[in-house]
Amino acid sequence: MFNVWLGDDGIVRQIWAPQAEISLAQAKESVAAIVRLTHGEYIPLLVDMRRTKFVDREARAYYASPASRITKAVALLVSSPVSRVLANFFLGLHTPKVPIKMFTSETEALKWLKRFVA
Amino acid sequence: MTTSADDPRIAHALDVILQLTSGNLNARATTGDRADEVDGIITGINMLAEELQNLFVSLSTARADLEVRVRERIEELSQANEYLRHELEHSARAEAALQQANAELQRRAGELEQRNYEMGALTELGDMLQVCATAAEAYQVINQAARRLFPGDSGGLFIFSASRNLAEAMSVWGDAPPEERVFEPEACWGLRRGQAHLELDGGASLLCHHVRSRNDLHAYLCLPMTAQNETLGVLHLLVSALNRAEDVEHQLEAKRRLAVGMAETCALALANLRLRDTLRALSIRDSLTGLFNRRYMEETLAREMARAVRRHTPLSLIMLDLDHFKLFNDTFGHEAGDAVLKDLGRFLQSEIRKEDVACRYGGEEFTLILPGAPLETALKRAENLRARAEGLRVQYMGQMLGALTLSLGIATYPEHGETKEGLIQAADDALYRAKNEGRNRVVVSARGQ
Repeated sequence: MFNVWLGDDGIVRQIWAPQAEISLAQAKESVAAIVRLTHGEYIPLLVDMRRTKFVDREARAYYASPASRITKAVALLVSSPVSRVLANFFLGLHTPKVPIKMFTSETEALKWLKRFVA
Repeated sequence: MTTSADDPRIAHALDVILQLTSGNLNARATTGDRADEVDGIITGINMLAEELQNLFVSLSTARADLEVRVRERIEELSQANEYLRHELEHSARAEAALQQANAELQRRAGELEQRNYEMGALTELGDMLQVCATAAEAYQVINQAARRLFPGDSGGLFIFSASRNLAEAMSVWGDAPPEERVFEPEACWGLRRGQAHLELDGGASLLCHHVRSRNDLHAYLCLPMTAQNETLGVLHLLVSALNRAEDVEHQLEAKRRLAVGMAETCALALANLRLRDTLRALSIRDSLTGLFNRRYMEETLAREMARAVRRHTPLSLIMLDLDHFKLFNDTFGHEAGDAVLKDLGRFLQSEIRKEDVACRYGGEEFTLILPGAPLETALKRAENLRARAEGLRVQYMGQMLGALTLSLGIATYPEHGETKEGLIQAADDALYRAKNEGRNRVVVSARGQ
């Protein structure tokens, strides 16, 4: 459903599979995977949701909750209208507690995230 | 080429929007696999619908919670309000009760203070009356006490005459004292009923005959004074000092209570005085003749001698004896002898001046103390007695007992004696000489000549 790894640049990347429909269980799994990778350290995160099909409401609520606060900053990489709508919900309806920004360019996203690398 | 208007997803999305706007928040649209603008619109619609539905649920829940809270709060406020209202009522009742209790306490304290004052005044009156030697002194004390106990009121102390057919004012007080100073007992309802009689002015039906209605008179009281089973008179109180703004009945009751106390105290004291007078009379009077007895004579002579010495005035003593009294007794019996002595007693009492003292010295022997009388006067008086005694005729059981004659001996201070004993002895010697010289004569003491 997703791949996640820590780059040499100190940025975690999480790429969702095409047509992914993210439920609450998958949201929790994605957060757990990041925690395992970073050992609980707060690290900037790039989420590639360019081909994500849907994020259900419970998953969205989970991402907005304190339980998923595991990063220093989040860059949402979008392209399709659907992915922009999804990202917008993260930015708008569920007020994030960490810096979060939507990008259509991966380069710009990584450039922005590097500001948060320790 | 397919246009947006031809895309069935658009119609489907429109249908979902219509359902949502008509209130069906469960309606959702199905997206395709294209992830194009239409899918984006549908995805947005679905997500907005979810948020709206969730918001609606949240709002409903919040509203329900709020309603519950509001109801709870209203209930709490209502209970608090009820409690407060109850507390206020309770507090108001408690305060009212407290004020009432306080007023009652003050009234009772005032009454107690007044009672204490009255008791003190009555006790003082009783104490003063106890040390009074005469009724006249007692009347004066009662007058003063009445003025103090009933300021502003008037009244009088009425005592029965010896014949008990009249009540006579012995003391009156106040600015408007009783007008009737003597009345018959039947004129007083209090005396007739034998109990306190309180009459408000205007109650003409039971107005005592000795009371005259006046403008300044609010009420009056007649209190029979009874002690030792004898009614001595009546305490009459004319009430002028009443505060019409206050409880008149209460004031009258207070006056009645005080007057009853005063009447009882006065009655007891006056009865005691009478008893004391009676006992004293019994102790100093000779029961047969009614004259003073020998003990009183000796006391009086000692007192008058001391006064004569102090004032340098003369004093004469006449001792007299009924001639042949033994013969009366032997001839007519002792009872006839007693009748003679009784008549002689009356005779002597009627012949002497107010300041003179007639005594039965013993047996048929009598003495007359004449304070201030020199020998010359005493001699005239003695001779006069002797002469008038000759005219006495004593009857006993319808039988004439014969003429009386007297033998008299005179001694005068300071010529014949300067002490009581010396003067008595001198008069007795003179009497002895009068007897020896033939009786029915007056002999002056030969002492000092």
